[in-house]
Amino acid sequence: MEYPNSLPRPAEELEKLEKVWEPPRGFRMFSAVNNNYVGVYYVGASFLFFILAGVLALIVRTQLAVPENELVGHELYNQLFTMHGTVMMFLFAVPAVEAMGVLLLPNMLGARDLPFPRLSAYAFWAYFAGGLAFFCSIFFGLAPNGGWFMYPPLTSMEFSPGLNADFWLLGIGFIEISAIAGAIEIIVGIMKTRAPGMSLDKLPVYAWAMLVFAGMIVFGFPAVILATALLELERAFDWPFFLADRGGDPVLWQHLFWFFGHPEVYIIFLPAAGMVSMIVPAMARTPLVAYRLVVLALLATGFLSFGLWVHHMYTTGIPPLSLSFFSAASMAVAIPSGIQVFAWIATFAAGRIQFKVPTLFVLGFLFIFTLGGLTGVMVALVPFDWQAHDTYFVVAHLHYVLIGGMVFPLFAAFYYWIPIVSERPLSERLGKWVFWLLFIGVNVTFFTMHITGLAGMPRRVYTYPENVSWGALNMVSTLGSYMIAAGVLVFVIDMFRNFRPFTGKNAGNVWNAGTLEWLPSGNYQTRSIPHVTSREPLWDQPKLAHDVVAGRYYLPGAPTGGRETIITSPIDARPQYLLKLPGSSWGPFLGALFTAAFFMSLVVKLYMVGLALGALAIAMIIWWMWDTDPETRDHPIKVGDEVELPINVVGPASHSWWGTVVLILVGATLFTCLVFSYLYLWLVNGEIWLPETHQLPELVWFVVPTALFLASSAAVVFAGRQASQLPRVNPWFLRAAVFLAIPLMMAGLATAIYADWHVGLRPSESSYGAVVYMFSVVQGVYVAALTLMGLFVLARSLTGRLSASRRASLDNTALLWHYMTAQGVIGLTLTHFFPRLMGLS
Amino acid sequence: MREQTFFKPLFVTVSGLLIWAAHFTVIYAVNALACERLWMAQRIFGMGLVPFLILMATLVAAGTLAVIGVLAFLNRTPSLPDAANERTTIFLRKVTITVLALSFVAVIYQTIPAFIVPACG
Ligand code: HEM
Ligand SMILES: [Cu+2]
Repeated sequence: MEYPNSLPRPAEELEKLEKVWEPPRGFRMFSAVNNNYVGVYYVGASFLFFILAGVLALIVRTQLAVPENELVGHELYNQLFTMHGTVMMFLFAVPAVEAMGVLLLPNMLGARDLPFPRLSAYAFWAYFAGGLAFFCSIFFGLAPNGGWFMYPPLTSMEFSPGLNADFWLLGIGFIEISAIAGAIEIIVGIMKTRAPGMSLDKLPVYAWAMLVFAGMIVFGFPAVILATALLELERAFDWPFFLADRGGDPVLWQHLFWFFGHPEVYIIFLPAAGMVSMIVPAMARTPLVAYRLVVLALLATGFLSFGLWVHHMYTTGIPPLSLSFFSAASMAVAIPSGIQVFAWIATFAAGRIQFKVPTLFVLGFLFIFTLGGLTGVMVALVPFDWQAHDTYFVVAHLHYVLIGGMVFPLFAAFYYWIPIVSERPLSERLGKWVFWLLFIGVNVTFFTMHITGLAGMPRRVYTYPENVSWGALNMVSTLGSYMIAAGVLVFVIDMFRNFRPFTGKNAGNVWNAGTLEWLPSGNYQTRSIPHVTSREPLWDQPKLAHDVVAGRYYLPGAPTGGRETIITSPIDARPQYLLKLPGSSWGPFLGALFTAAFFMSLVVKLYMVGLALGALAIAMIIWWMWDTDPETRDHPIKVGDEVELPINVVGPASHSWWGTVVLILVGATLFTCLVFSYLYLWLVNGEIWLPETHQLPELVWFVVPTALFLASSAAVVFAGRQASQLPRVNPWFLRAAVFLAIPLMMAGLATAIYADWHVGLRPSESSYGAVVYMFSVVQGVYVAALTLMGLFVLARSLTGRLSASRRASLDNTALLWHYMTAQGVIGLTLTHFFPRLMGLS
Repeated sequence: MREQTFFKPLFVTVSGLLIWAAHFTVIYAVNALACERLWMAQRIFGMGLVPFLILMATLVAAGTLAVIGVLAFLNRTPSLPDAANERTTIFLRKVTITVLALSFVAVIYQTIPAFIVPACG
């Protein structure tokens, strides 16, 4: 094929590239934003939480080793298992797979970095600082104790009056922020920063898996964000969402929680499956069998898993036919999982296996995960579930699935990919020890628990009497768990001996794998960005590594004098424009610390301090936003001898447009969950939901706020039109329109709230009041954010940073603005007309 | 720019699963409503209200799945511009068809209980 660039390259080109991407040293490591650094920090932090949560599990297991043990009392025990489950799920599992994505994706896609590096850095630090603070609550006896799914009414104010439950809500506030930030980053990264030629049919399976994973976060996490917000409001201000005596319903929590919680299991599993689909072909030295079916399986799992949430609620009195739908879906989702398992086995069979440590972990994964899947089919059957519900059988099942489905693939991934970030690979000899200790330990611990559960031992009990004969089984489980700990310890030793990141060197393609992350690389990733013609380019284009290093492909230097990467089209990966990437910056680090401190002060009810910290966090974000959307050059930039790309484009091709659209999807899902909550409360508590004496506001109170929201959007549209005619028109028209839109929007919100208030509706009186005001709460978040964004646009215009071709700040604000209006109008329509339609008032 | 050519193919590729999701939502809502508001005893054409509505929803869903499947089979679903993208177009089409097939199975799977299990315990 034709090469984009001719050789030899100018001598100073590589030097300049290295200089531009030079990593920060010393203290300034905290200000690093590029994925090579943040990815490693992120993986490391999640592993730290794995160890911390593991220590809690060991205490739990020690407590249960013998009957009538007095090691920890029941109060501490409750905190221990709650923290273990919560930290494992929220601070280890989700961040770990997301972290691997941040670390691996740019390498694998042939990008210099993900499109929003500062967002990744911010998400990481917020998660790390907040997570540590959350973990420390256990040392003060303030840790949550309601189990990792925190069912109300146990966690309502009446039964959990202390701060413990609030710490849980805080703890997962961080993972919510960082997971969603990461999902936006990953979606836009996979869609827009692929190497030229890497069309969707050549996308590495891992990238498909991460795309589905990120999509699932976008549609799954909003449910739990809403749920935690509702519970927080109920606890702080007595809004009765879950209190049955005022028309609330604790089962609403279960619906919202499991609508997120079941997909969560696949959110954890799919990236792991994606990793396995990369490791298996490399270890078998042959392409993955049935690539297309595996892609189908990933897509289907992503969807079907949302139809399973009720299988966690079989015992809540839901009608039998409804349960059957979920039971049927639980079976259907086994099909795509089965497809993947067969594809891996077939690939192993088709190739020549290298029996290295990653292979062992993959085989261990297949064994354990399959067993977990089998018990999963068992508990998906309603009558069996009624027997096994809340016994140790379920604890056994969930650990088989989670450890088999996620921890083993993760260890495989560590052993497999560490050579790309470390000067030395990990040790084969120690790795075998790690594997066997973990494999035997896990089976000893958890296989036994199936029997303990069938023998009737309930989960979440801190001790049990002598005479029930559970003692021997529990002792075996405890010994097994110490074996697991020993395995993890050997792994840590291996890491200390061999893991050498950030040295500027790496061990290279030790497995002779075929995908782009194995190209020789520096902090800038690859010297030049290759043109890809197949799924395993390193196998099919034998000279690729050599040519990439020589600088024959795209973007061999740093033509703008800063960091940059190529943005390509989402399906066929044609180069579209050159994206300027930010260098190291303190903004994300400081912003994250302030965010963490902000949440902490809310939990301990220091509202004024919190306000100040929140303002500081926002200031940091504005600081870094300020230099996004750079000046567009009139002349395009050369990335190849004949290939020129513009910098910064306007509209749907731009990466920031994509980011905003994904954010809107998150918002729309949250709003849909709120509509669901409204209708659900009406459905189950119709009689006391809306007190009979209550008068709805007159219809004029529907018209006025609707008109105000629409007017504010119209002003924003006008501003956009003006902007495209700059500099021919007077910029003050645009400024006036944006300035006017803000009070219009605020007045819309204020009149909506006033309408309910003046007819005497109070949020704490009934679940109806609470849920109606909740629409305004959600709307208020957008009004606050858009006020800031509007002022930001004004500031940019006043300082000459807004023009017809440099207008991302305005365009993205406008997108969100129209979404806010749409959401407001839909909410008003529902709350004004639904009760009338049902003849309720 | 070429982004417009993105959303249509994506939408078509996952259309089977979107239809599955819509069908799932509808039948779940129908059953929940019927049981809470005690409509389940009513009968239509000699059939219980709930199974009847579910059957209707299934016919609509399965029909739509079949129509899109035939269109994809006859290469009538959106393709990417220019010949260089032919392989990608074919790939997407094949994924579309397998997605439709799996969704079809899932939709049928979900309908069967309506004729076996009582709607509201
Ligand atoms: C590594 C060894 C592990 C051991 C020895 C262990 C042990 C335990 C034990 C004994 C319980 C039950 C506590 C009780 O019901 O009283 C438990 C619960 C749980 N574990 Fe683990 N676990 C391990 C790893 C993991 C991992 C990797 C995850 C997730 C990724 C996880 C997630 C959970 C969850 C969600 C619960 C339920 C907590 C609750 O009931 O609220 N565990 N674990
Ligand atoms: Cu589940």
